[in-house]
Amino acid sequence: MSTSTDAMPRPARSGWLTPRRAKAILKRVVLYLLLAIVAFFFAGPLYILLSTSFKTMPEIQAGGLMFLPHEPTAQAWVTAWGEACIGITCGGLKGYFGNSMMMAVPAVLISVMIGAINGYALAKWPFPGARFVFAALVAGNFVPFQVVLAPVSVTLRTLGLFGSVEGLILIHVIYGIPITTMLFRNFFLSVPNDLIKAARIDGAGFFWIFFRIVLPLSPSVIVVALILQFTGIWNDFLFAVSFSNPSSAPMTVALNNLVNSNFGVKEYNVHMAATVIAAAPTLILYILLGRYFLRGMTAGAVKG
Amino acid sequence: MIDIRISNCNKNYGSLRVLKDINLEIERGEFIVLLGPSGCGKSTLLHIVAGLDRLSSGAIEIGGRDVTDVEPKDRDIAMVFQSYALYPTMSVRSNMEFGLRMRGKPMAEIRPLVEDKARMLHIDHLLDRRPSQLSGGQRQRVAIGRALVRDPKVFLFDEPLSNLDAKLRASMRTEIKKLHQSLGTTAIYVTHDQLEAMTLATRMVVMKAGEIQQVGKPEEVYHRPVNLFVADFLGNPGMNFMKGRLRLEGGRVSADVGAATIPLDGYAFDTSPTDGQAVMVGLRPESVQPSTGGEPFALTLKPTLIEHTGSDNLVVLAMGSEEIVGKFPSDMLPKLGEPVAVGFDLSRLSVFDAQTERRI
Repeated sequence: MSTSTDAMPRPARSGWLTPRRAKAILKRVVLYLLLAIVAFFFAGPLYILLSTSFKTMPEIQAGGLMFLPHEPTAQAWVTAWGEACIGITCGGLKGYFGNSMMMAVPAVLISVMIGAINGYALAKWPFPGARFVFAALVAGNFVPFQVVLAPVSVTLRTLGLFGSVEGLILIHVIYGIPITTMLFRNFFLSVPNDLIKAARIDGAGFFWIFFRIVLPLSPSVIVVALILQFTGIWNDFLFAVSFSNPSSAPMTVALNNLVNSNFGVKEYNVHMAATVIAAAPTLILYILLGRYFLRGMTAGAVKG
Repeated sequence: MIDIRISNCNKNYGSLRVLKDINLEIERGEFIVLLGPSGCGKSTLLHIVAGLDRLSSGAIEIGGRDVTDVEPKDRDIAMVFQSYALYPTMSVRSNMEFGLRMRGKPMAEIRPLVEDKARMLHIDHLLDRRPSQLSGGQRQRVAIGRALVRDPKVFLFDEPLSNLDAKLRASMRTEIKKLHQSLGTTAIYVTHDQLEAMTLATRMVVMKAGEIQQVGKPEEVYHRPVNLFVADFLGNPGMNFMKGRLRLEGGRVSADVGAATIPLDGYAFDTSPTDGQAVMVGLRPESVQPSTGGEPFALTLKPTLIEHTGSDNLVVLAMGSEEIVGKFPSDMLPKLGEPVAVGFDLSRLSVFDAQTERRI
């Protein structure tokens, strides 16, 4: 009996766990572990924000930050939106949300439009000094906000726009032009010059070529510019707190005033709800346009 | 009647002189081909005629009107590009309509025009497609159609066939020739392909380093090149050159090329030859043929290499220390190393001064 088994050659270790396979699995495990940690890092705060915003104050004071609410209630949201006291008025965030929209939407549209036209002119209609203009615009990206606070404040006062939504729109448009111009100019460089030439011979002018031929080729870069600008302008705090007054303050300023007020009990559930409201527009924009964003960021990298 | 007049045209990019004092007059209905190696300025010249590039000095006239400072759209020209340059986001129909719509022609007139030209170019079934859904040949047809519907005074072609494969290129070449014969519109065509130049041109312009070398009918440029560059640039395989010296004896001129003395009695000199003048004697391979016994000038030469092209045999023959190429019929296959009698067609000779490189 034993002799026969000895005679049979043992099959080589052909089990499913070869060293090579084990290594691959280990790699996978490490990868997923890292991804899970990163996901937790970003999703954790969002979870706490959301779950706390649906709790009542007694439940919050009882502790248990990580638990889901026992009796979910939307009361904190109602308060944050319409009743919370910010400064001396108690009308909630809704007015400031409106301010932010009134500021961000025109500022984004105007800065993206101007950036697109600038980028198109710089990339496709070379004029003497174009390189210098572009270099100056690029340098504009690196001017720190703090440096310009005082001059801008004087300028806005002179223009009579200090403390108004229009003033904020103006400064955000000006500050957005360098980055949008750079973005569009670099994208438009990849548009073949022959297209422009053919259109010129066909009788189209500067703006016709721009709207009929160049822009239809650029949805991805437009989305990138829109997202970048909207996120930047919506989340801006420094310009907002420097150049607005209580009636024109955007969300970021209102949220800060709400959360940092020193009166009475800190209503964490209201603060959390308010924070989610403040973050919602940029989140929604990413969710809706995120795939175009990713496509836009890599466009031109692969296509030869 | 002169349709296009280019006078003293210069183009500089900084210190780089791309075009040097170009003068050219083009008659109505001509098909002019600008030919030259890359970087010779032929495309720049075309772009200047189109108005896409500004000239540094000089003037351009189209149809008797000075258009030097006129925008491309107001020059009454249409252009076909190597890259096709079709508007990617528009259908074929919109591409062809674009130029006419820009000119404010009513849609009711545009539609039949576009459909007519599309039928003519056999692209009427593609009208609702996007350029990205077309093959290279179809795209170039659309590009030509887009130029045709405008019915311009002048067609400009910027290497339109260079992106196509060899077979398609040949058939498109024939079609462009037919189109020109039926329309009779003046055309300027840029190419680096000498076969395109020879077959399409009513007159060709050979350029080098921003200067016009020679202007003439294709056969004239081919058989009577004005200098060594033109002689060498045209023809495949290239012209044979034999270094030598002229000899004047008793009113008769001959060229001593070392291995032989070639009589130049029948040669029409442009300038009077001098005794001992250093020259290059040029003869195209098709003028070097197996001897039939009747030629006034024949040599016995040793073949050192034979290339079969199918239609001909290219035979490399040792001639002293140099080699010349003969184009033999495919049924004439000499043996390597065995001397053959080779006849020279001396009526096709070109003689150049070795210093100036000009035809004498």
